[in-house]
Amino acid sequence: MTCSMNINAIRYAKPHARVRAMISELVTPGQKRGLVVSPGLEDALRQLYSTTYGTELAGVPTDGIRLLPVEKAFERNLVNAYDRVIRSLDGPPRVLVVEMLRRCEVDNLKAILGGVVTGVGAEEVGPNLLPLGRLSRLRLDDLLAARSVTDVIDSLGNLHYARVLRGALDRYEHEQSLFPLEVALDLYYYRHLWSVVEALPSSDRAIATRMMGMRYDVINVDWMLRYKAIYHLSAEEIFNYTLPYGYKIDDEVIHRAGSAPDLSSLIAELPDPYRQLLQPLTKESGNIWQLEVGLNRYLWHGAKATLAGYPFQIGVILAFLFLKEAEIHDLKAILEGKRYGRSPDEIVAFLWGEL
Amino acid sequence: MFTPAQMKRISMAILDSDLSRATEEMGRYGAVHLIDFQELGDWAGKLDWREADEISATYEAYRRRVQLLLQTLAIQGVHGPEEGVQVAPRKVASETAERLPIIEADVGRVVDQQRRLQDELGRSQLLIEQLQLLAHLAINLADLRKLSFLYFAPALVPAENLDRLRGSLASVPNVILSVVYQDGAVLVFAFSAKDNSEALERALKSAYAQRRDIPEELTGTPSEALGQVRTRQMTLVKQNEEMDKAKEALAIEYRDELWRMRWRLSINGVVVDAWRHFGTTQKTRLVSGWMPARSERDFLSRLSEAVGGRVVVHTEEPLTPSSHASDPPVPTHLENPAIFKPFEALVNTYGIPNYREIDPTPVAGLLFVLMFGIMFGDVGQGAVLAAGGFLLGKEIVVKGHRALGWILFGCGLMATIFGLLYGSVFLLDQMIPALWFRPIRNSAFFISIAIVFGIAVVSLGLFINVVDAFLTRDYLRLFLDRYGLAGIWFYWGAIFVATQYLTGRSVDSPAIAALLGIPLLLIFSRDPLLELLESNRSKRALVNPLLLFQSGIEVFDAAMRYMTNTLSYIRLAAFAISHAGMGLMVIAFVAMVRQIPLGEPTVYVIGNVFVIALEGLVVAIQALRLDYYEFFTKFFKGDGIAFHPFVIPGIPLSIKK
Repeated sequence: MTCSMNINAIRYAKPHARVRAMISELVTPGQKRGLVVSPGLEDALRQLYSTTYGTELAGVPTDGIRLLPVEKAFERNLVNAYDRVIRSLDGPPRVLVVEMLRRCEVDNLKAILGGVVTGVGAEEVGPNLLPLGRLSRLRLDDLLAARSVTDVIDSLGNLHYARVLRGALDRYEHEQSLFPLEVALDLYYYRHLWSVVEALPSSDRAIATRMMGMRYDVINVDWMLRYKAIYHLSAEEIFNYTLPYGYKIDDEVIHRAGSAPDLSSLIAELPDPYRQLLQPLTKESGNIWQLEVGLNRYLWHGAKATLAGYPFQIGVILAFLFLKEAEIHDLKAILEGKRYGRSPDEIVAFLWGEL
Repeated sequence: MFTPAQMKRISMAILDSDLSRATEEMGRYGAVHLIDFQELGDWAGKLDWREADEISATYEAYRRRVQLLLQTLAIQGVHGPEEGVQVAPRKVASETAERLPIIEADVGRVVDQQRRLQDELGRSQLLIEQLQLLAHLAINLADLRKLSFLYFAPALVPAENLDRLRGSLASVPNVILSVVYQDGAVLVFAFSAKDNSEALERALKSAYAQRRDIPEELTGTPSEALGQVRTRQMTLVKQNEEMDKAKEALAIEYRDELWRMRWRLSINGVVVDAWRHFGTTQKTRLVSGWMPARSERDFLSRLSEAVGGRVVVHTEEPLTPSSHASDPPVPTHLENPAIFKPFEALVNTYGIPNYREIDPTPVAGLLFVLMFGIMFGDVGQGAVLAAGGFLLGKEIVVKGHRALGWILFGCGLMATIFGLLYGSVFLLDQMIPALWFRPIRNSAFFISIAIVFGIAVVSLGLFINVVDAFLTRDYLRLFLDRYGLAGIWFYWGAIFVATQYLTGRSVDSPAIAALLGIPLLLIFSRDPLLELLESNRSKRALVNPLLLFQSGIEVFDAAMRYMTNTLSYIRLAAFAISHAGMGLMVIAFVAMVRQIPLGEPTVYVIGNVFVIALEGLVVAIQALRLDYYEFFTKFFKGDGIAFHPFVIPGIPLSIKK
């Protein structure tokens, strides 16, 4: 144990130093509070100029009418953070972080498919894509020029996404819905990501499996809630559309929860801490978004706790990346709240991170 | 030699109509290191030439499409370079835009048809597998389709979903038989009770299974149907072969055109990529770059000739008092005589000298071969290395390793000379007399020689640093740096004191204070002085405890480094002695196999090859280490950027470099 800790201390010295520096750049609770209570959108934007987002926000108009350029600035910052972490790593941990960023690639692909299916042009879809730059393998010019799902698949060349989408093409053509395409991509992505987690050296695998397992639990619970409440899917479908990996959620739980007749019985079938976490929220309102916020707050606290532990391990990197994503979610939520004139309390209800 | 080629920054305004000719001339001349226009300052942002990015993206897309066509038609080989390829990116792009879709449509028709055929072939193959499994049943297919209590669903399931599919049916009685794997999917026969058919269907659908029911048109028993499918399959195979032939015909028809297209796109693509560095006004394109000052006049006259005099040029010297820190960095173009050229690779591995820095290549190269020779002194083995280096350098056996070859040649030559001095030939030390001394018998003497050598090299490094600081007017470094005049004072003072003690003479305290104390005090004062100057003469800098502590560490570190750096050269003697020791070991092995026929020569040759390969490598690493860490650290920053002139691969240069 001590020996592997020593090796990790050497291996993670550089990434740890970099991540620590980046943690210090995260928006502080005080700054976040300032944003929440700011008198309006323009004022909130002005406050953000003095944060780490100032560089990306330079040149973005602060007249406050269009939030898209601001959101893109946040996303550029997120991609940049990932890039900095990736550059500090080597070997399997580096592969893992690269694959984690590929989530954005999948989201871009889903947005492009959405554009193709709904007939929205490239000029509208393009600006909405996450700016991944050299970290993306997608040939965006070709993809944005695609006129059909088949064109999209052809433009993907040898990427695995092409095989996955080809497998879902029959269902898309039959149902004329994005749902089977999106679910197929999500399932492929998360299964592949888990295989990368399992390929980590044993010293990293235990912590990564626990942390990513918690994340997979939250994804599975979130999906089950949606499948049940919005899509009204059967137990068989819910089982097939969820992930066979996780920390506390296993196939047995998914079976029981998937067979539950309604949302509250589904939650009753979940193991703790998810049941404890979600049951009071269901009683309050039962809104899916509120349950999602609850789940992500749980992850946020987990990430914070990891940062307080032993520093030279992959968990610190995973925790930082989650906190960064949570921060960007929260900033978007705050600005959106300001745009619609929501009160500070209403805005806080949407935030993943504590103030 | 010793300083990089003098550069000039050249800025040109060229009419858009002359842009292709001007870029071609720049590429042919091969002496302009392009500066990205955006690097010139905030004002340049307004002159960003977006169209260049768009053309570049178009070229990238065309290149990919041509490559895809070549792959689809299985056209192998490389075409080019081709004489007289036109540098006209816009024209080539518009011609490609016209022709490429026509070829793609032609090829696409055949490819689509073949894809459909192959899909059908795949499906019929699956059908054959299904029917083979049912072939022994003497029932009619029509009856199989109308089972009363059992629900039967043949389906193709993505292999990664199969376990999940089985799991999803945990509460439904079912049987799922895997029949055959095909292209990452599994053909399954799924059975359940008729009452559970909906659950089975839902599970299959959500596992992305594709139904593969036996088509209605197939009649009779499974074995009769099998015959019908096989007949159809043979027809499909024939049609597929015809498609292959059609593709071959297309490959012959379009091969030359596609090769030419790829070549033209490749050359013009490089030009377009260069355009991305340019700025723009309404009618002119603005180009900025660095070029060797001596080429300026010749290049400008050629450029002017190429564009009929329609060019406005402004040149300026780099690093003048009016230069800003944010100006684009001046690239370094090393200019060494041919004999030292190969050693540039050694220096560049450590770092590129910055434009104002002394180029250490000649000194580092000489030191490298000299130290290699000292550690690897052997006439025979040195000659082998020199011969190998000569063959590599002249590219007689292997191509592409000229620099390495000549470095090896130099090392081999020096090893031969030291072999004569040590009297060693192929590890034997009795064959010839030693012209100087035998390392293994004079180890103490050799170590003292190595230390003297180390003192000389360290002093040389310090001297270069002082000259460099003087030339760049960096007076703080010149006088107070640990490797400046204060450092030299301390180093030689320490050597004097050490020599006195070693020879049994004493040195009195005032002399020690003068020789060691004062220079260390000067080095100590460097950082506080710097802080004082930078903080607008605030006296607080002189009493900042953290700074004083840091300066104390600096002084201690400097003193330690001088000692360790000098003693590090003992490795010269150590490795030379180890070389002789290796010789003794090989001779001992040879003696052990004396009784075996051909044992002696075999072991002797293998021993020599082993020593040349292993020790040669180790000694080269040690020589490099001494160059990098004991010598370069005294003066060399290596934070420059390399001079990369714009050239167009495939278009010959118009001047001899």
